[in-house]
Parts: sequence; C-alpha cells; structure tokens
Amino acid sequence: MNIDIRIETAKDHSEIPIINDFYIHSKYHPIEEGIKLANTILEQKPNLNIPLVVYGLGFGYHILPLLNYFNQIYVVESFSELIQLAKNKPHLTELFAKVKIIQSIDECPYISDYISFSLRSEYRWQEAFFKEISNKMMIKSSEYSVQPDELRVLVNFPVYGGSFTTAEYVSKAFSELGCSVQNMNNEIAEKLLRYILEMNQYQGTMAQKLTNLMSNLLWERFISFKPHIIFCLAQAPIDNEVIKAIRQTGTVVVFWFVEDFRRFPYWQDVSKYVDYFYVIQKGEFESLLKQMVTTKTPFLPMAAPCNFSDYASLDNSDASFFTSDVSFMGAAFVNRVQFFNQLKPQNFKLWGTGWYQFDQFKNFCPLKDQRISIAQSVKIYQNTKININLHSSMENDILNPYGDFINPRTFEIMACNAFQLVDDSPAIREFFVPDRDLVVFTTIEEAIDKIQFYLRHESLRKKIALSAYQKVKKYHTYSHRMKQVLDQIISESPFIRSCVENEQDKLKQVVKKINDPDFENLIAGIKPAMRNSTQHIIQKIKQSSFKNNRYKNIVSLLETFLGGE
Amino acid sequence: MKILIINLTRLGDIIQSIGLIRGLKKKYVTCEIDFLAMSSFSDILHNIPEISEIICLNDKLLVDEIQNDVWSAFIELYDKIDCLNNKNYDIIINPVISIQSSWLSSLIQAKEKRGMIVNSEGEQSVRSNWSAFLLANQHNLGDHSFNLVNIFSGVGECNFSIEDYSLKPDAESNLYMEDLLTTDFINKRSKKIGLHVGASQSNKSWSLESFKKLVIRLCQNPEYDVILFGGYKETEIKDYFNDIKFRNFHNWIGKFKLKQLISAISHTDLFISNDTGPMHIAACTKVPVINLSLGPVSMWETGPYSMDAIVLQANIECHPCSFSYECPHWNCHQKIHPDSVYELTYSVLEGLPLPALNPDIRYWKSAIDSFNCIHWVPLTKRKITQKELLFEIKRAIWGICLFFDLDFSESIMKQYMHFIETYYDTDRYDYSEVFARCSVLTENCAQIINGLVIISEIPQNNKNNLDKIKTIWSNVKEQKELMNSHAQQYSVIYDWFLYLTFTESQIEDNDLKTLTAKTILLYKTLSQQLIFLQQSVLKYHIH
Repeated sequence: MNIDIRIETAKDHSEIPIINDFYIHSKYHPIEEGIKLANTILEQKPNLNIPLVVYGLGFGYHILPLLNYFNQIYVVESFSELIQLAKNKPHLTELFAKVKIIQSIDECPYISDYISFSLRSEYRWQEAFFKEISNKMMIKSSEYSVQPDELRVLVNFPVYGGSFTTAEYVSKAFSELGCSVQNMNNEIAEKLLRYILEMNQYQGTMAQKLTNLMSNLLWERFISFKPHIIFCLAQAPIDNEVIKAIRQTGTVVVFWFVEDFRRFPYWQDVSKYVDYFYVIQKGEFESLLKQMVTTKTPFLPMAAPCNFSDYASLDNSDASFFTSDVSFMGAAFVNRVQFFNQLKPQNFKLWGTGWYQFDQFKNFCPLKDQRISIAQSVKIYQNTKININLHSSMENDILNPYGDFINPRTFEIMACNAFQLVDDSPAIREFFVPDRDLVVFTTIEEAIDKIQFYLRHESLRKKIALSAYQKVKKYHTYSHRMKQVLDQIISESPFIRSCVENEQDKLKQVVKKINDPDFENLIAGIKPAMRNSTQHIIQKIKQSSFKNNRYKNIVSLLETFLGGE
Repeated sequence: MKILIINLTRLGDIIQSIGLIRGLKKKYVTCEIDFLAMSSFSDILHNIPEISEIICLNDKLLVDEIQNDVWSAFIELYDKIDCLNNKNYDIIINPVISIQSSWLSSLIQAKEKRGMIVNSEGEQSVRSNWSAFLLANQHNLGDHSFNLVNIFSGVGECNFSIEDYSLKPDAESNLYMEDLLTTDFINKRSKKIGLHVGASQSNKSWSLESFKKLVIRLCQNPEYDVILFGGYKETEIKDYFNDIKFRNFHNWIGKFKLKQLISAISHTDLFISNDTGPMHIAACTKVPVINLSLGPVSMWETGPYSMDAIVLQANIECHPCSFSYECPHWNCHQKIHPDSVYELTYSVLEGLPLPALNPDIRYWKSAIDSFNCIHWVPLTKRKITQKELLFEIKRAIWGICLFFDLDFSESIMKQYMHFIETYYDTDRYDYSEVFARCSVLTENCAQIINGLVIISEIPQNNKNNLDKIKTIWSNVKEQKELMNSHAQQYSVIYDWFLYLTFTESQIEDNDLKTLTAKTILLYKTLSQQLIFLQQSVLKYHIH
C-alpha cells in the first residue's frame, strides 16, 4: 500500500510522524501521551524478566519510558520508511540500541512467554501484519507430549488410481492410532478428469482448472475442520497456492509420493511446496531430491493394512475359485507379459486387467479382464501356493533394473500369511530376509526352478509365509507408517505442539471456570482433538441431557453469531 | 430502578436508541440505565451521559474468531450473562429484532422484559406491540411506516421527543477540529459541506463516480469547503478522490476516531450521506442532512430524524428492495443525478427557492405528524398518488393500533389526514380492489371468530365434546391458512396479518376458554382494522 509520511512538531516541541494525514502520536503532548501509555503496562506490575513486544514503533514515545524496566524489548514495525526516519532522531538513539525491530514475518522469533501492547494508531495499516506476527509468536517452545487422539488429520485422496486404496488404508491407520480423521474424497472429480484427459485441446488448462476447483474445496474443508496435519496421497489434487496458504497457518502439509519417480515427474513441482515429501524409493531419487529441494524428504515404504486378511469376508465367492498352484495379481505391464510368456507354469492363474487380450493367456484368466477387488485379492493370495510378485518396469528389461522400491503387493501377500516369489532387489533385502520371509529370483530360469521346488515343499512354504506374516504385523502395517509420520511431525513441529497444548490448556481453564461435573463429563466424552471444534462442540452440547439448560442456551446464542446475523 | 437496554446492531441503530434512553430517564427519573452493545460500535455511548454503565460484548471473539476459538466465545457469553444476572435489573428492553439481542433478553433475568425475546422453543417472541410491528414489516420494507426512533420509544413505553436526539462533541475533539480547520486552511466563514462516501453495504451506497461529480461541482464555488468523510476501512476509497485538486477540497476519509467525528460533523453546515452511522450522527448534531435513500433502505425506518432533513429517493417502483436482493440494474442509484443533488444543496445552503425538481427523484422533508412521530412529506406540495394515499391511511390505522389502543375513531383519522392535506393535494382514486380484498379477509375473520366462539361455548366435559372441539379447531386452522393465502396475495395488508400472527403466537393460557377469548379479540381487532380501512378509503374512492 502507498503510504505518505511527514513529520510535524507537536505543541510540546517534539517531532511526530504523520502517516497518510493521520497523526501517530498526540499533536499536543506526545511525550506525555507516551508516558501514559507506558504506564498502562507498568501498572499491571508485569514480570520484567520476560520480553516486551510492542506493536508499532511511531517515534518511540510509548517505548522510551519502558527501556529501563524490561530486559528485552521487541518492536514490530513493517514500515521501513518510518524506521529510517526514526533512526535519524537523536532522542531515539538509546531506543535503537536496546530494542530489536521485527520488520517481517521471517524475523519473528519464537518467544516462550511475553507481554505485549500496541500503538493503536498504527493498526489501521498494519493490523494484518501485527496479527501474523502475534500468531507466530504464540508458538511457544512447547515440550507438550502430543497424543494422537489430540490431533486432527485431513487425508486428501487422489481422484482415482492405485493410491486411492492406499489413501483408504492411511485414513484407517490414523483413526486406529486415535486421531480424528476426515477424508477429502475427490472421487466426484473423476468423471470430469477422465473427460479432460480425452480432450484433443486445452487438456493442460482444463486439468489445472479442475485442480484449482478441488483445491478450493479442500480449503473450505480446512477452514471448517482446522486439521493439524493434511496428508496428501500421490495424485491428490492440490494447488501450490493453497498449500502455501495452509502452511502459513501452521498446519503441516504432507505428501506421500507412492509412485515411481521415473514414471511420474510431477514430484518436481509438488515437492517444493509441502512440509514433508515422503518417498518410497531410495538411492537415485533421494539424491535428486536433496539437490533440488530443501523440503524434508524422508523415506516411508509401503505397508499392509492391519488385519488385511479380514477383507476376504467381503467377498462371497467360494475359495476354490481362487485356488491355484501359481498365480499373479496385477496389471499386464510389458515386462510382466514377457515374463509369463517365458515362464509358462502349470496350474496357473492370472488376475487383473490387460491379460485377457493376449491369446496365450486367455485360458488362465478366470475373471477375464475384470478389476480385482481387495477382498478378491486377499482370497487369491490366501489360496495360491506360490504368489508371483513381479515389480513393474518401464525399461525394456523384464526385471526392474533399479530395484529401489517395494510394491504394496509384497506387504499385502505377507499380511495374508501367504507365500511369495518376488524379483530380487536391494530394497527387498533391506527389509526382508530371502528364504526366511520370502523367496527371491533374479532370472526366469531361477524362478522356474524355485516354483518347482516350493510346490513340492508345502511345510517350507508355510514356514516362510508365517515368518513374513509375523514380521509385517510387527513392523510393516500402515499404522506403523503413520505412527512414524506422526512421531516425526510432532517432534519437529513446535507449532503443532504449541497449538495442541494451547487447545487443551484453554479447555482445562474453561472446565475449571465452569466447575460443573456434568459439563466436565460431557467434555471428557468428546475426543480430545474435537474438543475445540466449534460445530462439534455446539452439536454435542445441544444433544446433551444437561439438567440445566444454561449451556444449551449459550450455544444456541453462539450459533446465531456463527450465522453472521 | 435498574434498566438494561440491549442493542447489538450497528452504529446507526445505537444512535437511534438515544431518544429511548432519554425518554426512559424522563419517565423513571431516578433510574439507572445500562446499555449492552457490541464493542466495535459502543464508543458512541460514551457521549451519552444518561447511561450509567456500558457493557460490551467482544465482537472480536464472537464474530471474527469464533470459528477458530469457540471456547473464548463461549466464556465471553457465559461471563457476561453471569455478570448481568447479578445486577438484578427491573426492566430489560430489547428494541431491535436481532436474534442475538432476543436471546440475551431471554437469558438475562429481570422483573419485566420489553421487546423481543426468545421462547422456550428457541423462537423469537414479541413482548411489545411495537416489536410485533417491526417484525411484521420486515417482509416488505416498502410498507414500513414508522422510524426506528419512534419504534424504540414505543418498545420502551416512553415518550418520543425529537429534542432528545442530540450528541454533544467533547471539548478535546472540538479543540482538535478548530486546529484542523486552521491547518487545512478552511475559512471559518465558508460554508462547509460534509459528504460521507461508503456504507455498510454497497447496495446502499451511491457510486463513487456520482460522489466525485458532485464534489467537483461543489468545489467550483470558492465559498464552499467540501469535506469528504469515511471510516478508516474506507481508505481505499480515499485514493479514488486523490486526483481532485481544488484548494477547497479536503479528503478526510479515515481521519477521525468516532469521538472526533461527532465534532467534525457538527462543524459542517450541511451533510450529504448514504444511510450510514455518520448520517445518524449528523441528525443528532442538528446539522441539516440530505440523505440518499438507495437500494433496500427504507427512509421511513431509518431516515434522519432531525427537522429540515431531506431525503432523496429514486422515483421507481422497486425501491426499496430487500437487503438480500441482487439488483441487475441499480436504477435507484443512477436516477439520483449529481447535478440534481448539487442544485438542491445550493438552494438549501443559500436559502434560495427550490430548484426545478427532477421527475426521476422523489424529494422528501422531515416533519412531525399528529402522532408526534417522524414523518416524510414532499419537499413541495403536490398531488398525492393513489399508492401514497392508501399508505397514509394505513399508517394512520397502524398509529391508532399502536398509540390509541384501537380507538378507531373518526376524529383521530381526521386529525391525521388534516396533517397529510397540509403537504399533499388529495384526489379520488379507484380503490375497488381494497374493498374487495378487505371484504374477503373480513369474511375469513368472521369464519374464524365463529369457530372460536363455538369452541369456547362447548363444555369440555366428555369425549364427544372434545372430539367436536378438535373438528372445529381443525376447520379454524383451515380458515387461517386460507386467510394467510389471501393476505399474502395482497401485500398492502399482509403486515397486519403478520402482526396478528406474531401476537397470536404469544398467547399462552392453559384454560381453553380464556385462550379462545384472547384469540377472538385479535381477529376482531383485525376485522375492525379492515373495516376501518374500507371506511377511510371510501372518502377518497372514485365512484
């Protein structure tokens, strides 16, 4: 904004700044006025050992009387022109020697406790800036031990695709950990997106517009739910400007990139904007990210849902339909087609899309070209003696030459207490022991040999399957992953700790003040994370069976203020 | 005696409560009057010495931050209600129809409550005929016929006096203004014209372009000093006028705190404004006002209540509209041409005869009618239109209901129409529709009354009788629905019907006989109103 500052001499011969024709201090007795203002603080007998924060510099008449009292004074002032003019004033030399000026949000320190007061006349131009600083200063260096049930998490789903299921598992995992979870389900955009992808022209523009729309909807949900964390899955629609705006409020934005970075290059953009960009690939991807972004990019491998095998009950088909010696479940990528062309096992079944179009595989596809549900996949794994697990590859090789990630199938087969034969890779060996948790192969010939061997050794298969099952249950469920995420975010995010601590503290004060066991019981019955949700609290109090209608009446009145009447 | 007035609405409404405060003080000489208002609009109350205590609701907590911090808002209300309950009020007056004020009026204890409250079902409920009137007229602001200053006094059951509406600037602000006039080279002898740009909603606000044209024309007279006012949130508007380079133009938008604004406005010789808080300040500082009544603003409800105030309205059917209406044309703004406002301003300032009036504009001036209420009459005597005449007759009947306890006498109507005829030339018009509609509604009333009478006469001593009562009650209900649909089709009297509905909903009695008797009285009153309307209109009906 344009500001015009000039200086005038007041009646008491002091100089005063005038901003846009508005007097910042009294035009008669600014020194006296400053002393009066300073006295309003001193009369409260403040703790002089904690910092004083003054909003608005002016020409310091309100600050000078306090210089000899407080050990540390911060002055918040964004008008550099005013600061420069003030610095040239002899009467302010002492002030500038003793105070620290905060001119931008980046300079705002974390202060654990402080007193503040304002030069009201400067509010008319700097209110938003003062508020931003004030919000940031509220971040105390809190050592509060945040519990998951005190956290609100918003899971931002992809529109469709493989990570949709992952999003569901993630959401469930956060709930199982005790968090209050809401899902931003973007499925409604699927038809539009598919339509856009078939357009001959303006695909990019239209796709961007769709992303903007979905991001705005996410923003609305953010405003109403006020999550501490927004967890986005790969291909979840989110605009960089919205990410920025959300992060400015202190909420942590996480993106879990559960894709192959070579296949989906959009990570180059989104990784720059979020707080945490979790990845499932190590090695080359890690190095690239370190070079390109300053965002935290921790490794977070895929996992299996807890009680994955329970999903089988959702399908009514007879288990015998899924029984086979050898099977593969997954899409017919080129490398896999080549692999099974050469493998040609007996008593073999193929599940998933793309296989049925090949004459040589038609007879092996019981469900032809149908997509496989989660329940069906569980039954397949459980009723197959040897589950082939071949990672997809975009290269010409049959086996993925990079071997830098573990696909979800690896964990899911294990979670079904089933046996798998998987292509060998450094990533696999990092987490699992070959021949103990699973069996690996590096060539087709080796795969053929091992299929024949393990078909003859049922007890060995079962032993390996059990070992894997126990390992997954103990270390590799989505609950474990999300706990890892929460632990990291909580330990590295002072704002969240402080925010949660403030929320819980405030509530304790309210309960103490009201001093009513009925009220206290009502609050105790609400999940900690939801105890500060305006809509939730109003609903709970209205539905409660208090003997005294007083609280219900107050929330009814509160609701009218929400309605903006 | 301790009285609490609750008014959580905006600055203008609070200023319109000043007469209520002073009227109460005159009526209950030793009373203490506290005032409950929202913090951002409460500053003005410090200028009213008759107030013992100003209690503020923190609108930062209750409006700005409530979504983020529900508990601070909850505790704010909890504490305030607690504190107010300890004051043992004798009377609580809620003169407005805001739902928040109504809730507070219910939750704070007092021996007597006047105005709107909230009942046990959480619905608004009237405790004053004037509140019922105000509520009934919200459906169509074009039918609104009494100023809030009169309504508030009515709710408070005290007398209205236009002299009570005054605000005195404080000494320091006056000193400040004297200095400012000097430093801004404003000649003490010049005529100072204040203009307030902006309003709480854009549909109430004349365009900046129009204001600019007016300012430029006024500045061309070196004997005028033209001063722009506006709140500090209107500082973006300030930049719009920065290209006006006349020496006698003073862009003071965002310059004043509220206390200083009172002094600043009182130093002007004429104040031109949309319907805004500062316009109400001008009315109270007795500065002549020209009010631009635009969009959904009803001059009857919120026009300036000082003598010699002038209101300009566009001469179009659709004004006033409603606050939620999204207008496609804004004709009511465009028809008020800056040149017309200039010509009027010039004649008022110079004490000259009125200029030729623009036929696109309706020109009004304030007056006090036979009810001692603020009235709007044409600036120059002219023929009353058919619609206006019907409006005035209806208003008179409202006045009889609200002031004269349903004394539907010829003399009161005669006195009122005599006042009207001072400012208008009357004529005869075809009011057949009035007769037809009123007859239908009177018949509806009669049916309802008959049903209720029968119900009241049936003893409730056996099942057969109770079943009979049920059947007749059901018929009465049907008749009411029919009456509602007839009344809705005839907006001229729909507010009467709404008034009856609101008042009927207040009737509570466990005894069926008493209940029906009270209800019968209401419908008889409506009948009388309808008949009286027909009789009064007959004199002006073309045969």
